[in-house]
Amino acid sequence: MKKEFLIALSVSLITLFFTGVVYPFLITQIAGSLFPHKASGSLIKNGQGRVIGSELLRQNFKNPSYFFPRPSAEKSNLAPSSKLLVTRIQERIVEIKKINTNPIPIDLVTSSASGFDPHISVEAALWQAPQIALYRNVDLNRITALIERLREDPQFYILGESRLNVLELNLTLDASFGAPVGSL
Amino acid sequence: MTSIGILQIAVLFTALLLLIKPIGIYLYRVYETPTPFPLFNRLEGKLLNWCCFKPEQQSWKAYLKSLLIFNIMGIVILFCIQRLQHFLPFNPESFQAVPWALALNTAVSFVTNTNWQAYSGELTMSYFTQMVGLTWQNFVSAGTGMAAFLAFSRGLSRHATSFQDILLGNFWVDLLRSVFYVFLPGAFIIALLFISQGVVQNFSPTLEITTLEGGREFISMGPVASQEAIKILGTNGGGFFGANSAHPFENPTPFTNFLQMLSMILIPGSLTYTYGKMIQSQKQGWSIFIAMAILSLIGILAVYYFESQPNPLLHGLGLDQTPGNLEGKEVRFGILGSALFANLTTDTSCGATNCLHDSFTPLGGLVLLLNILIGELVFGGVGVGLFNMLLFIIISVFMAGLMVGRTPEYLGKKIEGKEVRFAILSIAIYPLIILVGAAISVLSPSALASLHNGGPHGFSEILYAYTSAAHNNGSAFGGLHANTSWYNLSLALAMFIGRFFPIYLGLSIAGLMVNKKIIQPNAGTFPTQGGLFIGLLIGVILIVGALTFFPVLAIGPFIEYIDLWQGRSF
Repeated sequence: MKKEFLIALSVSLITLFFTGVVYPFLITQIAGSLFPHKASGSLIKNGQGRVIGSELLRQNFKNPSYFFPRPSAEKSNLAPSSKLLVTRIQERIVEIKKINTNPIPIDLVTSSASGFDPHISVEAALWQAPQIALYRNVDLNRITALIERLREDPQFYILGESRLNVLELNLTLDASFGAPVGSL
Repeated sequence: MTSIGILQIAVLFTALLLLIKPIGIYLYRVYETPTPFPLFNRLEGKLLNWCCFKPEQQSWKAYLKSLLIFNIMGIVILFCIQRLQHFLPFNPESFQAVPWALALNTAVSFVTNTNWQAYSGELTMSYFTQMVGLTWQNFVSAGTGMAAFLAFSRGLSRHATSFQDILLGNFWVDLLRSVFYVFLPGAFIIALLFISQGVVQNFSPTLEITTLEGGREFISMGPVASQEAIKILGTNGGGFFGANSAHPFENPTPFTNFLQMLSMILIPGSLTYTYGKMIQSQKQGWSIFIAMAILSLIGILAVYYFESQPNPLLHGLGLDQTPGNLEGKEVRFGILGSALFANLTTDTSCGATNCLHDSFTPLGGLVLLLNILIGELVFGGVGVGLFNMLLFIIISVFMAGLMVGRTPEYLGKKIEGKEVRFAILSIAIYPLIILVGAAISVLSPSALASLHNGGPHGFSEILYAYTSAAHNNGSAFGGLHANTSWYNLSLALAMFIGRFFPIYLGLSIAGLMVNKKIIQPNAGTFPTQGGLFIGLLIGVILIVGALTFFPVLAIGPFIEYIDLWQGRSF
């Protein structure tokens, strides 16, 4: 029994050292030299070198001159049969349905799984386009052309869905048409 | 449902089929040859020397004893690391010690390969705890699963004579080979692929940023990719972040999503080939794989269909519900990428989630529950999936024997009363844990206070929790607030019994079987390959595995489904 105990302890310590210390540090080292940008969070910096977000994470947009992402950064975990879910969706519809009266794409009113979903569907971007065109006072065609240009198709043609990164869209909007009034 | 969705399923299964043979042969070489790699032979010798033991063959009792001592020691060490994390390095957010009930739950959870998480990693665990404690157990708990399978299948396949009844292999050798020859190299490659797609890997503290509009947001960091890789490859499933594989830093692109799904079923699928080699009958190995694939595909198509349906409560609100039920799902994965992932994570004992199972349609959620309830033997967890399947094969052969009225045999060995009793017991223990646990919780007001959703769905949340814990899955209907003393302790107990009791029974069957005489097959022998066998096996799995649970499933998901379509909400 005592011998078994000693073996268990030494096997624990050896596996712990290799899998819990050597392996993660080695991966960190290699990642830092091969993919420094990605390993540190795909961060986006502005002209002054200040970090303003990550390519992979959703951020909030309230200004009507910007595309807005999917609702709040909180996991809902609500069942389809939940009263609260229906109420939330109804409130959301009232909040966003100001310019466009066409049916609202479902991703704009439902929460994502992580709360960090950086994307909206192509339909959702097109649905928001008239509002952007109105508030930025540019032709609708220029907005839809921008959406067409930035849309990400399924990876390797088959994996995942067509989508648009909201932060990237809004950064491109600012670059093309200038920052909206009242923002930083 | 779209054609590109179906195509993605086809691509995944084609990739799996192409990899089964090479990986299966590799695994056979690692485990079943005395010196798998001459190059590493001396290294292995040194390692064994450090660990102060000689690799002698063990009887089933000695094998089980080593397994249990190692795992209980793992629980103790992991518990201590969590309790002491505020004294240990790599704690940039200065997290305090994990409360003891949560620490115990988490320790049992990671040692049993369940990875049930009643906490959010980025708010609770230091980088040291995540890396040295949790990542370590991700590796060795997977190794324990492989070892359990190896001992069991050796008992069935080896032809021992009476004077050599200690032939199940050596637990420590099996464990170390799993870690060093299988999981470390595999995780290494997968981690680098993940990082190339955007999974983070650093030791920076949480970053506070000012957004484009001037708001403040926090970005959590950490050594994520290294843990993510083994989380998936070892069918562990415990996320670095609370959002698990839905978090863009854990699963940033459709390609990483594909890779995660493939890695989840890779080793469990390939083991059917390894097993075929061990019993010297590839046909039997493939028959098991086909049974698994059929059950998996039925589940996948069902979940995909149900999640593509609109929510009837949202009719008439002016919404375009064409894609389906997107509540709790990420746009980049879509319905298919979420439904497929959810189905595979419950087929296997992985339990990683890239979408909120709690927000699934009633029948979509029902399929996920059923996947776990039938015993996670559709691919299943690394090692233990096929282990569970072998128990069902013993029962199937017994049933076939009953039908024709002769003593059943498997691989030329007679299956007698004791073996069948043990096999049935290892399956019957689950209804006991799950139904009793859920029943007590439903009767206790304080346990009910943890519910997030009302009505029949609330019941499903509790049922799912005990199902997931007992079968060592680890996914959840995540609305349930499980970080209470009652849930932490009762679920820890469920995980412990659900893991080690069947391993004990399986190894004792192995001990009984290893000594049996080999009988030459004759006209009365039921073939354990081919269409008839596959059909019987699937039938037995569905009837024996799932029938017990139909009443509870009727109270939960079925009633919710009917209510939903009648427009009732809770």
